[in-house]
Amino acid sequence: MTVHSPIDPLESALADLASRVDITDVDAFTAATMVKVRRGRDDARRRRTFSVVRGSNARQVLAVAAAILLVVTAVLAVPRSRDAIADLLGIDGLRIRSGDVPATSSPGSSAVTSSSTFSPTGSSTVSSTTGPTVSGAAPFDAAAVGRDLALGSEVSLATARATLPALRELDSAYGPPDAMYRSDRPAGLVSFVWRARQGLAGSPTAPTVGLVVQQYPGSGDVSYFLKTLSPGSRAREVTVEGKKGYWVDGAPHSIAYVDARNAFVEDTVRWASNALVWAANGVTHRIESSLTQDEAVALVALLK
Amino acid sequence: MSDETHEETTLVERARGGDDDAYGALVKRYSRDAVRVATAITGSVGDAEDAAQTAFVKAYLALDRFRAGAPVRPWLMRIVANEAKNSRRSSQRRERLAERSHERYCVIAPSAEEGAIAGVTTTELLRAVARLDHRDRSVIAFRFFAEMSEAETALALDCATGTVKSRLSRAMARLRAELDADLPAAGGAR
Repeated sequence: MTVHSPIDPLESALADLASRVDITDVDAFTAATMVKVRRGRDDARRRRTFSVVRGSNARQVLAVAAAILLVVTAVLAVPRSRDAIADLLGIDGLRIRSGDVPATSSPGSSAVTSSSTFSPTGSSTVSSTTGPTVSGAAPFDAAAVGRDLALGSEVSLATARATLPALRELDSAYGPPDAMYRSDRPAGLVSFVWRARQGLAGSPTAPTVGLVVQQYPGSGDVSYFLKTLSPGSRAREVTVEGKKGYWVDGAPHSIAYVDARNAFVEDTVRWASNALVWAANGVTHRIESSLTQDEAVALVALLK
Repeated sequence: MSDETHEETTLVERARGGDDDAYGALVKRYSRDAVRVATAITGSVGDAEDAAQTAFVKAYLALDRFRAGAPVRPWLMRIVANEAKNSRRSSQRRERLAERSHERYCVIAPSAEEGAIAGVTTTELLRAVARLDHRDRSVIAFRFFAEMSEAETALALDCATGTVKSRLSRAMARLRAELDADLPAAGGAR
């Protein structure tokens, strides 16, 4: 829309300058902005929650919270009432199920109780669709490697395969993954995690994690992830399996995905290692590690 | 209500209800205007990019205060201008500390007629605009950089439509004075 018909040279100069200010990739800019919008919304919600607690009689709030926790804990101890209490409380993302405790390939890496005091009997499992699986069957400190990276629910290999039929496994000298996760953000995301070890250094932000391989059904356009790179992160275009990909290093970064529904999903992982990201055959792949670019690319050939 | 306003009202309502795609559509529609307005206010596309994105975040958080049926663009651009004004203060402190590394999306394309229009370069013009006070910068930003109508500009400035023309006239006079002070020898071109 042009509302001016500039007649004087200064108006012409302003109009010319304005027309030359541009955004090189409006879609990417929009996606990056939406990532910030979501962060801002989350921050605002946290502030409001804190404000409510601070503005109330804190002792009363804590007493009520403790009472609710006791009731919930008692009710959750009865398997049949777990689903009911989840519905009753309207806890988003909370699913309570029985059986199917996720298996892991490494002793001590099984799902564990996190912040809950819930101590069920039998094989009952409480899991969050957005957080790690929790189970009363394992000791509290037997955390699955990578659990703090918010990769989703810990799952067995069978579940991972069911989540992503095109899943490729890494046939490397590192052996099978020490933990596997699935998440709905983005839909169908499967993450394989290996512990740090000799020759596979941990990340400064997750010292026990040496390697993460993620796969999800994506749009095939990995360029969107560039939008959320932090200042200080560097991204270089590379060719992986004949497709365009990116090698990212430098400052810690997060990634926003475009999922199979073309929705933008912000990655919650805060990782401080190097990343190789590419898409092939309708699946977006991401290898995070402290490996060099050449070492990471060499791993790609071992994906079967 | 025009079709465009009706559509935008729908998008705002959906965004209020948590529909990120709806808000994303508004961001996409007005991202160029936002960056252009912010560039005029901050004098830097790098700062403009940050300011525009922050403004979209603040606008989102203020959606509940948006008056249903009102045009979205003036409301958004006022938030952008205010955010750009605030970012000017902080960026002036930062600019000598580190080279900015995240001017990723916003650029000023070279002009085929660089230096020929009004005898000023892009840099000179941006600097001169940046030296104006915020009222002058805003009206220039809204009218020339976002190409907003007088009615839209009046909404964004919260003034009468008739006031926009006089305010713009005074702003342009002060801009000419700034340029003449910079380049007295070339003042005749303006």
